Amino acid sequence: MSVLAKNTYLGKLELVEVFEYYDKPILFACRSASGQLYLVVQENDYDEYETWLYCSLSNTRFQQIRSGGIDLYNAFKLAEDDFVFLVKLFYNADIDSEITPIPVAQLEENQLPKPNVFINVVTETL
Amino acid sequence: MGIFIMQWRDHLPDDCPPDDALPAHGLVYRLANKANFDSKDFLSRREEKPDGEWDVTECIAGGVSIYTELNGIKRLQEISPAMRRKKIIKGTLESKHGKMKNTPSTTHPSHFTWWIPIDSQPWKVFQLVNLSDT
Repeated sequence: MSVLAKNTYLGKLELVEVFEYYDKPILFACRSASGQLYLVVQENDYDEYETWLYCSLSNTRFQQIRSGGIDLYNAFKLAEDDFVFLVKLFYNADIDSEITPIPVAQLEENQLPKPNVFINVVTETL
Repeated sequence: MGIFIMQWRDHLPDDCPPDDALPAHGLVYRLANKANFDSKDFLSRREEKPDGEWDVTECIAGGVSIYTELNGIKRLQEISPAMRRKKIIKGTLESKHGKMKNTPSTTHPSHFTWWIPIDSQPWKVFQLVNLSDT
């Protein structure tokens, strides 16, 4: 199965950059066909499916996160839209992904990266 | 003296492991789903889901992830809640355990991809890491 949500209103997604990989991409950025960027991290796994957090991003915010200006915890907890999406990806490829919007205030610590963990990719000055 | 030819698992493409992969060696770390881990914790994504679509090359999907530094796998757990729920295990690999290649992630250089041959049982050389000892 792909790590990208399939047939949801997030759109037709493609990987932009993988930041952390462990047997599959674990932390990555993807973009919809209409140009919306998402930062994505694996939240949990179960017998039948995995859950992933999708956070929509502006390009400026993405560059800030990518260059280490914002830690991964706050990338999700202080999402620009105040919502993130919890996406269920089923191992059975015939089942479409399920998506649930979650207000960031309802996110629990055990759903998020630890505070003060940063991506630190060298980027061009904005 | 006979020539030893390593036999690879059937799911790997012909040109995999790549020519620049090194014989497996040294202390490495991996995550297991439970403390009493077993062979299932050493399956690649391709072996777990033979019909799946993947976002990486077939050779990478056919290998398993390991870290050569404990800090690398701890960092992975700090990033992903799903990874945090797993157990860190460690083992010292020898050439009989296959081949490995440095495939660093953007955030840590000590990630390797490890290809395990058919007749290898590497879980026998792994043990649980007690983080209070580190």
